[in-house]
Amino acid sequence: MGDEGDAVQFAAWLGVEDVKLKREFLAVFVPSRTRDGDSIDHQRWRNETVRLMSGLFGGATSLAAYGGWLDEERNDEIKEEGVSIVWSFYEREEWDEEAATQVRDFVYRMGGETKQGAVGLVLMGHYIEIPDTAYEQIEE
Amino acid sequence: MSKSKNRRKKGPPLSLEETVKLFGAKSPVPLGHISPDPLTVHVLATQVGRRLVSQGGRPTDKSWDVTRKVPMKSATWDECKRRAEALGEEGRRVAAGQVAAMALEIGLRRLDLQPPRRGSAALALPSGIDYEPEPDSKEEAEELCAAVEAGGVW
Repeated sequence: MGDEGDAVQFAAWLGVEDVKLKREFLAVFVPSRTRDGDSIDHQRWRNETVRLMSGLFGGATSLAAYGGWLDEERNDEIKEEGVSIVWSFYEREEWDEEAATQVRDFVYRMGGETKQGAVGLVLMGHYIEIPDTAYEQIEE
Repeated sequence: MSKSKNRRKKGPPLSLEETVKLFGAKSPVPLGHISPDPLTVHVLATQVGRRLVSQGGRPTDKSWDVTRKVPMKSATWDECKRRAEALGEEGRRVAAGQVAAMALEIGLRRLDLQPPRRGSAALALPSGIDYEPEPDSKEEAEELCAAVEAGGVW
């Protein structure tokens, strides 16, 4: 029996009647600073991300994380910041144009209003980076 | 925890390529097999953290504190992109919007110059321009201005 069969069987053992396996997951990285290092209202953006993804996929979880990145254009300075990773499981058919457009519009707004050089998310096993050139013409 | 039901009517699922196009994103970076468990998701921050949010390094002027939608011809925007790419080839990471912002500021200041300059010199950065970025970014902004002037990009 494959992984899917095992999962279905396990779900049945847990008493789940209508088993729908959510094989995919989307993770959105929520920053806490602008690209110039100024603090932003991180909690607000994290909560908005959770609400959006919960509405689209039925639930979302936020994890606090801490990371750094090498700024090769500024004397190899290592810049660090706290981030939240908001992630949701979804079924393949849930990632349609409407869902993708809502996520895009949100990360465009987040990237523009929090002055990010880029925003990132993980989808379908890939890291996807959206440069600010995609959202810099946002109207206030 | 209550049972979640997503009753949204769904269209055809989007492929990765369609998603990247819709997002205006760069080429997606495959991360290999990702186990969808909380620990792995947490580790993602380390795996891709250096690339994710605050991609600094662009000579950003902190005095640019508003973002406005400015109508322009598509050819003008294409020209901003072309000039940004030209500066990028010199190792300076500049967005088309930054080129547009600088062009706007420099253009406004040029309105005060008397008389109007003629000939090729008018395409270079006028020496009378006193560009005053915030102290934190002044060095980089001056470097960008020097690059602009040296390259005669406008």
